[in-house]
Amino acid sequence: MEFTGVPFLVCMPLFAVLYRFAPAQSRALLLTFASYGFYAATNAKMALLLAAATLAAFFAARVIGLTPQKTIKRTILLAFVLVMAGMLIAFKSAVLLRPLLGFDLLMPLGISYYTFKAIGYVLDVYWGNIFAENDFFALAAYLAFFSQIVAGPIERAQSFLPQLQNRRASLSQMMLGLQRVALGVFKKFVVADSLAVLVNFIYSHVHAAGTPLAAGFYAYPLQLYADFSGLSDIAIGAALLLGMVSPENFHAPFAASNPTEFWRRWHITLTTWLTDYVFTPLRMATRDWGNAGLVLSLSINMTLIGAWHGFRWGYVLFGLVHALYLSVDALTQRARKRYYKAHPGMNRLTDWLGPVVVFHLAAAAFVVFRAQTTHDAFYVLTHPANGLAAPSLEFLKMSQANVVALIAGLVGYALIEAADWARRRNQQNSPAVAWPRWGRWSLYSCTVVTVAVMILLLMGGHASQNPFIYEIF
Amino acid sequence: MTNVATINPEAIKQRLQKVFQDVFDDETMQIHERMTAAEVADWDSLSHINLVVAVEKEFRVRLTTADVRGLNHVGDFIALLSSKAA
Repeated sequence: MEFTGVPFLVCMPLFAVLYRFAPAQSRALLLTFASYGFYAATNAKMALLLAAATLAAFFAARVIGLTPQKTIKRTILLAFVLVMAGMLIAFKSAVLLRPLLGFDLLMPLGISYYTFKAIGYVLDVYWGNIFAENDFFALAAYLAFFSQIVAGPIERAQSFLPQLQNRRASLSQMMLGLQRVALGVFKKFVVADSLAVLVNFIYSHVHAAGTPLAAGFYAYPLQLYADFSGLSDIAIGAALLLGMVSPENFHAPFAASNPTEFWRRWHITLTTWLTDYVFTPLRMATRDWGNAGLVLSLSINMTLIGAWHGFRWGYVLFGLVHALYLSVDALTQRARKRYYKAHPGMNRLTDWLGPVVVFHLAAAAFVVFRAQTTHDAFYVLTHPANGLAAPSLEFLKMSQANVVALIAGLVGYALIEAADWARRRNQQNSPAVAWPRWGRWSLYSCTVVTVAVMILLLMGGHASQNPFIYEIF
Repeated sequence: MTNVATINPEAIKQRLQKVFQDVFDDETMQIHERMTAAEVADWDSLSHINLVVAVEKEFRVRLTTADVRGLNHVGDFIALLSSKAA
């Protein structure tokens, strides 16, 4: 079932109403059934694998929580992590080895997300951060939660589980939820899908004469951000309709003024997961090795972030490039700070220049991420002026045929940046119910209009033909 | 350098302040018990370990990964170092 398809957009509000009036004790069960229904609509067989992983996580955590013996705790933890990681690696490499295996193996929906949630949950029980969950269906709802299974956010058990006891969603929460879903649909339909036309053309004509490679360099980060953050918006909005607050996955990533800050703003829930469960233990183990320990820990962590997307050289290289950025950033931090202290004028200048430099660094890494081969990526990065003076006839034809979509995509991108900014500002200050009456009613009427436009778009058969980029990971 | 066992929480705080000033390269930095990473721009997962290494050196203690996971604000550092002294 697609987030931007009619079945989901019709079923979701109906389920929100049902969930709202269901007694608190039955919510975990209700959410589990709805989530498995959502999952089975995409792939029924793979739902069994999700159920098996849930059973394993439930019993592993229960035993770890109950037994006083450290060796038993440690053995069960190790076995569980190995099985989960092994399962994830097996599926990722099976996709890679598809030509050798001779049969088509589907990647189970959300496996990269629910295995991480399950490992995090059992580790937290082992570390004593949380108690093992008594209610099987609460854990099942956590791991299978339909709004988060497609592409995150990777919420922690300690944040999700207590919310099953939440009071009913307030009117303001539901309005914000609807708005968030509408914003996500807008980001996908209007911005990401329009920019995809340009990006797909460039990356499928890398070596053709007259292809303006720079357009692909600049457009892909915008497309990817609109696509992935749009998907996160729908996930966060759908959860809000049930009165559940999910963690944010993005925080204006292109406003970051250094590479470290970029990762605090981009795919936040994956970064913080790896920081807590991989980077910090690794960094502690290597802390006596000086800078070599730092670079090694960063490299392992970022390679894992890259490989998490799939076993492709492009993804691994994407991770390594970011490891290089982060290492240089960390190793020069002290010297830069001292320089800026002595030269306050330069500091003000780099406040402006920092985001521009970081955007270009991130865009260069995204070239490696997007290009079909590392050879293509290298070609794009080393021929930035290609096709700018004399674009090919084919490129001009493509641009002419899609001129409205491309303008809509770029204007839409500017709008989502503005909307994101306004939403963050308002949410930080006060919830919508505390706004003055005119503010509340303009929010409500905007929501109603956006939803109406969305329904008209969907009824007109304009449903997105392109899957979300992060659905496949 | 005095061993952690001979000092009280206020003395720990003062020595901790010096460690924070050193790690964040800011001689004017004033720490307080409720201070968290959110209040210090440079306090992230990378500098957190630098902080741990500097604390270990100053107080001549060895912290475990489990210790470090519980260090969310300055007060946690003081409590942990006091408990190591006990």
